[in-house]
Amino acid sequence: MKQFRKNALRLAWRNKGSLFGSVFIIAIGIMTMVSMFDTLTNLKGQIQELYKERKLTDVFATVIGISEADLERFTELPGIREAGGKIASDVRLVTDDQEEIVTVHLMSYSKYDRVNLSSLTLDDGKGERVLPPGSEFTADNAIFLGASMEKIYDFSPGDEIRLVVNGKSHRFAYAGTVNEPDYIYAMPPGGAMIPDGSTYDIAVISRDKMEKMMDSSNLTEIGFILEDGYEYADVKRKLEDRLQPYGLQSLCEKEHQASFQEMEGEFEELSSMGTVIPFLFMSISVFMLYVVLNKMIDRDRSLIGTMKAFGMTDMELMGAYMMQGLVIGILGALAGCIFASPFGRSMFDLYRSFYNLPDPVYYEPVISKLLAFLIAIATSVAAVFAGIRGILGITPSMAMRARSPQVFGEMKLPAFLGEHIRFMTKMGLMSILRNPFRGFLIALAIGFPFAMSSVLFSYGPLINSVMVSEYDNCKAYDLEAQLDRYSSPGKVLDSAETLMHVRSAEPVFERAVMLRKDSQSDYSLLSGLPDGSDLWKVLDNEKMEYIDIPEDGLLINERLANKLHVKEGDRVEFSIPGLVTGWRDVRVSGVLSETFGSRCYLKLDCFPDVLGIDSMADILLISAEPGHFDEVKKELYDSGRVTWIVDKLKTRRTFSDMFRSMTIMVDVFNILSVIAGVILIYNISMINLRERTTELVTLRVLGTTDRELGWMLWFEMMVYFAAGILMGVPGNYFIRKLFESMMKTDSYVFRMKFDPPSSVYAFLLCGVISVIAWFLEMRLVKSIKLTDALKERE
Amino acid sequence: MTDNRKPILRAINIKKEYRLGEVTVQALRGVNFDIYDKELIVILGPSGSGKSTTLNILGGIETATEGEIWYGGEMLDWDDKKKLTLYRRKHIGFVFQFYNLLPGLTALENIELAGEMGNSPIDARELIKEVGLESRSDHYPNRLSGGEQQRIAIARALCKNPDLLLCDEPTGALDSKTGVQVLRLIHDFCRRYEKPVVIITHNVDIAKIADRVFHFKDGTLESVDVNPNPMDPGDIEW
Repeated sequence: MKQFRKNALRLAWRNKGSLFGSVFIIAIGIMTMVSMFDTLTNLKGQIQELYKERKLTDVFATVIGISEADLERFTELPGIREAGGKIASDVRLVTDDQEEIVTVHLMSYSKYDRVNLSSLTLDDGKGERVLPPGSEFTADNAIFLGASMEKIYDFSPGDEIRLVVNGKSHRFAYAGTVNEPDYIYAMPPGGAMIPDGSTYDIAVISRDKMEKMMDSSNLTEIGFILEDGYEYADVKRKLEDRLQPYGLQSLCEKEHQASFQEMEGEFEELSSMGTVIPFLFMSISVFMLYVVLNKMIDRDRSLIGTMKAFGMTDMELMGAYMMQGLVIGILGALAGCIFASPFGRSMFDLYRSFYNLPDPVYYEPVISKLLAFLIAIATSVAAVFAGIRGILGITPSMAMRARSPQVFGEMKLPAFLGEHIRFMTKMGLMSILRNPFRGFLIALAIGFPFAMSSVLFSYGPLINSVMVSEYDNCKAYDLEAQLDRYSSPGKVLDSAETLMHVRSAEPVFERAVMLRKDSQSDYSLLSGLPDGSDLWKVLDNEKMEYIDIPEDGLLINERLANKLHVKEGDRVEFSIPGLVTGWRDVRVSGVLSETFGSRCYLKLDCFPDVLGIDSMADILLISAEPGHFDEVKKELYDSGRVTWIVDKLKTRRTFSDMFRSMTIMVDVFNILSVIAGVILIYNISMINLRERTTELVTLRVLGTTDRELGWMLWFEMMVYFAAGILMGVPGNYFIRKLFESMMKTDSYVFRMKFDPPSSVYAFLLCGVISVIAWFLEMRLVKSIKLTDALKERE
Repeated sequence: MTDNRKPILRAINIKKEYRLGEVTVQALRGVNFDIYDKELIVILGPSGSGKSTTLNILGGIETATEGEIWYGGEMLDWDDKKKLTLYRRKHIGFVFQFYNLLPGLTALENIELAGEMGNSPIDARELIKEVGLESRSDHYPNRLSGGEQQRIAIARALCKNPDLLLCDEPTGALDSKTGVQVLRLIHDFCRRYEKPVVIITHNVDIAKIADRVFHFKDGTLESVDVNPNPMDPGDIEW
């Protein structure tokens, strides 16, 4: 038995190329799985620990102001176990040599805070330590900043930081960093959507200091922890009613809280990528192992029969081959786990650069490695088993006689075709028609990398087209200046008159609003745009056309419409907390598809008719004269009325940076899938060629020239290539939809459209691989000694 | 008898060496012979005597380490693979021990394949009729018995109307009755078309149908027997 195993392994070594290819492909799948799983475990573990330790609430609300005593009385409501809050406000932060408007979301800290507790990491110059919940605040003038901003500005303990509140400057000393369970993802105002520590982050000061600065002790950001067994829906209406008198601005459950929702979306994306991508690669390796082992059993058929005649059992024989599956699985898992570590770390670092994570250290969970080994071994052993199960059907007597000839399809060429094509073309065509399964395997080997690469190649252009449409075509302005109060559109526009070098300007209204329809409700951002706006056009990315905002109602985003279950022509209840008391009945006059966000739009002129309020605006969109961008930005920076500036180019750069990192990751997958494609196409073609060695050598002996043989194999390869590409087209659709669903979040959706140039690249790539495979086939055919094959049984 | 005729093929001092790792094996140690028109030659010899190597060299599918093969007044150039291919294509017909029919072609198509390569091919349908397998024209090799496959293989070899027919153990995988049928076809070709045929075999009984018998041993042509009264294939049995 031991000797037979040795023999099986030695024979397997002859197929080392295919077997190592399988190991490589398994390793890719395992690497993806382990790196995604480990990144997810690292992120989820520490974030959920923070949620638990720092008492993340189940319900979030923002109000204009509520006293602590009044808030405490909410615990009397059925279903509310705990209530708490902070004083919070966006304020400007000033440091020396500052070129941007830097804003912090400033929050109060008290050792008596009950929910959504800040996690302060004190930096005393000698080291850092996390203060446990309920700790005293370190010093009256201390300020703790989000790690992202601290990293960019490189503050040292004691560095002076000034905050400007209501035109008055307040001095603080940098004391360390802060993590908030509800601000892991600190989204800046102005719809930038991506955290940017250079202009926006969170900050915490003592409650006393905050009260003095704000001249109020009323809480503005509040949260509720629900009793066990209660859902948000059970308390929602009561909370809405009870919070209205305190100027309710927003109310949502945890699942819709910006940071929580974003993180859950990321977890989901990582989880699906960590499942789908490994599945794709594992499927290739299963396919390849199956083919390799199946052919190996064909080759070893008489040996197996002989061994059975000697008395070896099926189990013993299969065990010897299954060992190969085991070894391949172990090697694949080992290589995958080794590569997963740096890949996982770089992904984690990518997350670190955008999120305020409580723990910057990347851990290597053991469980993912165990799982990797289990999956890799199970997959390869199963594939090997499928390939060798033919052993069971081989009887000892079969070893003594020639293998029963292969049964071919008996499709015939039409007579007219047979007469008009070259003989070797006819040979190739008949070879294809009479062994369709062989052709199917090769076509599949070509179709998969084509489908995968054509989708992965399209990722970069997709991001680019989103950037172009979002930031070049739709948002034609250079700067978006947030003003300190709402004014009439005319007055807002007048403020641009005082600025030099402004080419054009437009006023815009922006405010968080709430929409509801029957039992469904959701928050949205209302953008009020001037009629025929040139600086902000609304694009429907499904129809790829600019949309005119209707005059008789709201134009709402498709995601929002889906959540509310409304369509064009329906009516919804509409509320603008802080501006409109109660609910307005508003018509949905249009639904559009957008990549980002879930906004709704209304013409500024239509505010009185649709909402019953005067037209107003709080944002000034500016297009600067060419070459004067920095001057205009400086003017805005020095203006007393501007609280926040969105530099469109900078936002675009931030987006591009984030997507560039993701594009690099996608490119890595593309390269890996191309390598997998090379391995697959090469091995499957070679395996099939080896099957036909006698046939091809016979042709050579009969006098077929290399050119004629080359033409026949070329013709066959081109037919398989064409079939593979055709099979890859639905594959492309399937993978696109798979990726689309993986990347879909509540904040954005990328419609992965069919990208012809990407398909052309993938087509050329697979074409080159096929040509190389053909070239290697020819080399193999030429290298076979004519005499070797002649003594073999067909 | 042979002295007055002009040989169609001449082998001069053919040597063949193989390297097996450190060891050099001398398969042929300087073999000389001529082949004339219309004659049927049987090469006899034990395994490893060099008979298959000789046949392969004659057919241009293997090259000699030393020596010359002259065919039709031209010496074969071992280094010119294209010329060797054309030599096989235009002048040589092969019959293999295990038939080597192309599995994706029907019986008739297998024969036609060779016809496509020859200069003055014999009609494939005529040949399949001659080998008695007309009714099996559309059958694939996997549907034919060993004897039928070998008859198709012979028809394929003859279809291109070769100048020299080389047969490597053509009856090796067949029973005696079928073997005789196959030998008859080869013999008839030789006689009817007046083309030379070389058959290699272990079977001494087959030598009875030959005009000349070459005895190979240890890589040398030990002796040549001339058979003044070759037997008809139908009269031999083994």
